[in-house]
Amino acid sequence: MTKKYETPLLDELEKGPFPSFVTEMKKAAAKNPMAADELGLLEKSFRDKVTYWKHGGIVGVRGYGGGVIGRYSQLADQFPGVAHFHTVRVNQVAGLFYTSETIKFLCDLWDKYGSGLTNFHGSTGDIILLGTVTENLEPLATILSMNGFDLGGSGSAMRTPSCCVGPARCEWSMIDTLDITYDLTQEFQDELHRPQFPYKFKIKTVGCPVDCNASIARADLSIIGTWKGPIAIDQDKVKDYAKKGMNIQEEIVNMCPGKCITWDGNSLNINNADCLHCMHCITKLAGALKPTPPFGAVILIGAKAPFVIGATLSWVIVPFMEMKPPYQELKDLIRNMWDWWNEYGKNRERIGELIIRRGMREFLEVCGLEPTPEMVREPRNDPFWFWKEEDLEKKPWEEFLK
Amino acid sequence: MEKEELKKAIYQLIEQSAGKKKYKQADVIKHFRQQGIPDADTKAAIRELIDAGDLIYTYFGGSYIELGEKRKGA
Amino acid sequence: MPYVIPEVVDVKQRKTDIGPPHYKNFLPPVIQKNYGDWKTHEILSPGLMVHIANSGDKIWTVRVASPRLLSTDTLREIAEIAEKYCDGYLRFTTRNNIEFLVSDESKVKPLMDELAAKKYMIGGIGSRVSNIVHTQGWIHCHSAAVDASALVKVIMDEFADYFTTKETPNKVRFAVACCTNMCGAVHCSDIAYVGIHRKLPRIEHENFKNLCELPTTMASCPTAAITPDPAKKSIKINADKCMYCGNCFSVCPALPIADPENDGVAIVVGGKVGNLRKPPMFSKLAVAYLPNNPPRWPEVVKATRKIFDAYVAGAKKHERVGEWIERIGWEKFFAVTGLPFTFQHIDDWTYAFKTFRTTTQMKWTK
Repeated sequence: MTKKYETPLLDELEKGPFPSFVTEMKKAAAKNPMAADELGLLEKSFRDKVTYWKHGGIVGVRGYGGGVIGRYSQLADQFPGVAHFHTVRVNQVAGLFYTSETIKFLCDLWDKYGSGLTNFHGSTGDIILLGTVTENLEPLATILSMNGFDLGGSGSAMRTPSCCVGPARCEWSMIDTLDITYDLTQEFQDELHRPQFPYKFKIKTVGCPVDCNASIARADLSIIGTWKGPIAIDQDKVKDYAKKGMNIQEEIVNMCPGKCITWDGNSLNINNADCLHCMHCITKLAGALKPTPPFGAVILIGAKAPFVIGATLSWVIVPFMEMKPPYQELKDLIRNMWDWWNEYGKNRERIGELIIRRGMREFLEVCGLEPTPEMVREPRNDPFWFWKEEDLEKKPWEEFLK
Repeated sequence: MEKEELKKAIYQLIEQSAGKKKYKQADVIKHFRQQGIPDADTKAAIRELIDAGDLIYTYFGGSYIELGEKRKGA
Repeated sequence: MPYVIPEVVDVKQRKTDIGPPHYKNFLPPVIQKNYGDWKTHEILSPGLMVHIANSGDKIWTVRVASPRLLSTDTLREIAEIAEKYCDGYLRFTTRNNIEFLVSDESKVKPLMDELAAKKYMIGGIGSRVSNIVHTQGWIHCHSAAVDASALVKVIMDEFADYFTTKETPNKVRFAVACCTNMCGAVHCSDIAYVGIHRKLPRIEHENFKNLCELPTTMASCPTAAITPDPAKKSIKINADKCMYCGNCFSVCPALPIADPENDGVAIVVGGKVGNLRKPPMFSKLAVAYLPNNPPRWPEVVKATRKIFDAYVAGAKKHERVGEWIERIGWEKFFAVTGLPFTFQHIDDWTYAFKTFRTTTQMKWTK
């Protein structure tokens, strides 16, 4: 028997149509004393309007520096079941595909070694097993590894890479997001499990500029599929959309940011030279328009949440990179930037912050990248910039004014 | 430096700085680089110390390398 | 692949650095066959779409909401439903929805009937509200200024019909972050909630010595409000500079900032991550503070309703919240939503000047 708590406040959150997390906690609490105390503790938080968790502690599995987040309750006396309530991050399957057998295995494992509560998935993409005690960590990691699973990342490490559904079930994916994610995860196992960086490093790969995994907002390294060929048009299907009531002029032509589409009521015309590759027309006219090769990826750097210098979106460092296995160009680029970041980054400084502190020039030179206009929204609008000795010797005007 | 000797030196560095300064892996590598030890050697020695449980990675707003015995007290 | 959980575990058998299993083992045969060769898709109803391959093969996807926090009981139930109708194949979306992958068309309707009978919330595909990305909140985090799951629950209850049936001008993506760490990356969502503090951290001088590092603590402060206090072997906080972000607490537990009476929720709006039409946009401040009022945060729900309804009424088809606001102007946004504009809305941090209006162009709203 598990302990039963009165939860009048949380009970209010079992009402309404959306599935209730409280109901989930109660299901787990009915058979697991840790989950029961977690429910009791949460009710107290709701009553007192404050969290009762302590800072993380030093827990983990032998050899790894990540994958386990130590968590202890401030109210261990009242709620002994959550005195230790550690999180285990399990590296998810790329694309978040599962079989029922796998789900049941994870359930059996977690009922035996944890609270029975999970997250599918955490913000970074891992399977989150929520709440276990220190002595269960080694057996858990052992059984996971016997069955082909490994822990995810945490701390100042490469975090578990993640991606959109990609070519598995999307006609717009211009790169193999699942394969890239799997390949990079395997390539950088050491960097994933042994925190050796100034701070975290996230990689997210998406198949097209729609960005269904928020790569540009949430990844230090954003890999976003794009195309260079013209947009192929099936005029009959475009006309079908018009017949079914779509106002092509209003919804497609007028909303094109490149102002490169015309429609005469009969045929759609795209001036591909002015296309910004935004995906609006392609997604709204699904099946009628499609991007054509060459396919590749835009590589961007630096997105993060607000601390410490303010939130950033990733910015372009490679406008177009071919993405073919074994992705050597990308891996070399990643290793180069990591070496530089490890050398100069301060504790808790993300790579984007370091680039802003030391300048894009140094970063680009370290990565062996030439400056191109695609990297900026506009050139600088101040009159202050650096010259290196080697720049002074060059006379580019003799070339470009010839 | 022999590997075992390097491992001992790394352990001592962490032991002597315990409670004063927290080292990240890159700090340890840079420390021994000044003594002429190749980065890869230091990294490999750290890996062995971690695998043996003599040293561990800890996290406090960032990841550090600390004495393995700390985990037992947690 | 048969899974094993041995009775006795020899931890020396643990293999390291094997990484996750290969995704191919988890793809339904029709996906394996047509991988990277899809032609198009159609949204058949708010919770059902079909993808059609160049080969003519099809796969149907039925999407239901989940609270993300799932018990093993519910996971097993989901697995069993997948076995019954999908040969065991299912996936999750990045927004915590569950997707049942059906290869046999005749099983689509029975699946949806069973899901409806079991009170699963079916929907979320297309121009409507999808599920909410969020953080751990009071369930499992030491720095949460608000609970996260509860906000998700009350917002999704309020807008449930926009998940299951009704359409919005374009997708509306909600997000919840329970503190300004923003583990949920709410900074680019249509409508997002962030837990905030409004008073200084309390300095526990005795603990500081033992628990915290001076340089790290000082470096954590975005406004350089933290200076050493050598006499106490601790720190001082400049009250005029502190903006209550709590980042110092993240690196130093001797600086607690949680405050039941003054913590609460801010609402930010108009962000997006996709590149369609306009480049990705940050969310901007709409409501600077609403009180923590558990269990159902009625003030937050009511304020959201004002924003949401104004968007649905005012936006052109395909405009995201941010695009709608940009077109009508922020002065009009505050007028049509009835939300007050306050000192807190005017930036006074690093890049404030970028947000000041340096033109005479404006609309009269009064």
